[in-house]
Amino acid sequence: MLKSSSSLLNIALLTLLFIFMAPLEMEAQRMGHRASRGQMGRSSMKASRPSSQPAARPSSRPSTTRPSNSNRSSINGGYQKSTTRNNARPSTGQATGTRQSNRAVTTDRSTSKVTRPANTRETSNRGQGGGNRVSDRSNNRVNVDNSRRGNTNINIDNSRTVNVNRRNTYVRTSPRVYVRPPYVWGGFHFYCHSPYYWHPYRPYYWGPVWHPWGFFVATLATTAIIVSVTSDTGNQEEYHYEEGNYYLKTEDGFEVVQAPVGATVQDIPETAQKVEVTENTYNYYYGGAYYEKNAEGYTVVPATAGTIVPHLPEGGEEVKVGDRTYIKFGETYYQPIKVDGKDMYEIVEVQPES
Amino acid sequence: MKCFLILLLWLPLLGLSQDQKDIDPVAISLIDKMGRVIGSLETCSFDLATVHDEANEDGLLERTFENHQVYFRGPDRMAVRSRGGEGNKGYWYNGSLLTWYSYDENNYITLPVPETIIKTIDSVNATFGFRFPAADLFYPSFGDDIMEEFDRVKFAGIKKMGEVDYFHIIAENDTYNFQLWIENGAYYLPKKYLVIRKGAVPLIEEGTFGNWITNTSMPDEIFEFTPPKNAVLISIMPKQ
Repeated sequence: MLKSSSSLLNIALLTLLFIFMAPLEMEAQRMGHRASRGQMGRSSMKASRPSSQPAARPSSRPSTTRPSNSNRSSINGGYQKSTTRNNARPSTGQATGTRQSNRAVTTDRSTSKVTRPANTRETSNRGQGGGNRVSDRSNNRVNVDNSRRGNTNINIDNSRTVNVNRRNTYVRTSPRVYVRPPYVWGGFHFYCHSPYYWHPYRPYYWGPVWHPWGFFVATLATTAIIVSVTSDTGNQEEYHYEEGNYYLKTEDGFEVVQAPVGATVQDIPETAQKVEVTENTYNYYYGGAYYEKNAEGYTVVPATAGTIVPHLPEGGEEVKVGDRTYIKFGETYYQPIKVDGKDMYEIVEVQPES
Repeated sequence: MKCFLILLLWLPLLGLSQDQKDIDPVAISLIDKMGRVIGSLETCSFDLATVHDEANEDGLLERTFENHQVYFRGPDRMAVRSRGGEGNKGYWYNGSLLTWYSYDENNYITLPVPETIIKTIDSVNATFGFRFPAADLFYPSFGDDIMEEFDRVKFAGIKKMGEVDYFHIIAENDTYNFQLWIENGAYYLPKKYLVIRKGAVPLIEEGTFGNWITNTSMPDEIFEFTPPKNAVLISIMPKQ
């Protein structure tokens, strides 16, 4: 009996204790962190300003109060307060949603392509390149018409499908040390020797004998020569070369393609420009292709980061990377720069953040 | 009884957890009132002059000044026009597509986005790093966010700017000091905010509101983007 009375006393005391503790715990919960959009506070200012703070917050959110007649026309859906706030006042100022949501009929408009650099460096890029088929370039159109889908969420296409034949557009590491800090965006470091200076991308034409990629001719001049290149898969690919243009045979004729890395020709057009790779190393640049001079003639080589060129051919894709706009050919990013008052481009070295 | 004693031992610790924050109910009620006013608006427009510090390309601390004109029409229309140190640019949101346009570069990005202003701001900020001036203040949970993120929130009194009185609120945590001035008038609209990121060299971000126009008619055309002549639709790389 005594034991039973003691138990009852314990239960009563515990009940009283919980009654008194309840507000304290609610108060503590109110102040706890919760899922948020990271707009203000320790992990914050994201929408207003960029933040280097990680958005590490618990994923749960306490329930929030909403006015019973939620204002659908409100600019932010109506003010919300956590129900656990004990200093909450009754909401009085909510306007009623009397207006119908006025959704305009959306026109079918092209949307921008979402793109990312390949996460791997030159060696693996080599394996991904197919032949220089013109059809490969279809993914490189800037204005991809992603016709409206029912889903209004942002559609992020992170697949690395931008193939202007990667084998010929991968970038060799710059032999020079970068003094400038890289531009950091999207998990990548973008290194350049020159400061960013935006100027419009206007494709350059290397005279009447030069043709942009995709250009079609029914027949070739008899002066065209055949150049064989061994592909990464070990296949022998046959190109037709004439006056700085490389052609691939199609059913109806010949189409101009990118210069295949590894191809060696005896001559390149006289308008090819000598571009500096390092202090004592030079490439010859013509039609978006880079050549190294050797005993056999001129061999097409991959672009080297840090190389500065005055012009870019047609087929580049302008990509907004943070606050910058680069021009992208396959996996080669060009940064617009200014050298001695002239608009130029520097090949960017893109490295994944370690 | 042993159980009861254990609970008694925990009691001071529970009390301590309550003391970790110092939240002034007056400050919170003012923020709530401002939030309820903003939440009740069906349309609004305002001018915003911002100042912020950021390290530039050469690693030097650079202060940037910008002016923005912002137009909201609930629940799914927004237009922002910005001029200043970060370029001449604009945003148009028509309920399904958001367009960012650079007047300097004459190029633009159009993206499919969610169905409300706040979701859109959230989405494109998280995915692409687009920044919207003073967006924090327009989140419907602004009061809760303040209480969650800051250890101390205080009403610092009524302060005069020009001929107008403003409620001054200061919130602080280990990383940030946040100050807000709310108009002491009928509408309780924000006038100014200041964010100081603490450190050896404090970085500031400040915004001053002006020319508030509320619940006025805003036609659809304001929120539709028409590409100017020769404007180029470009691609975008996400920040994540």
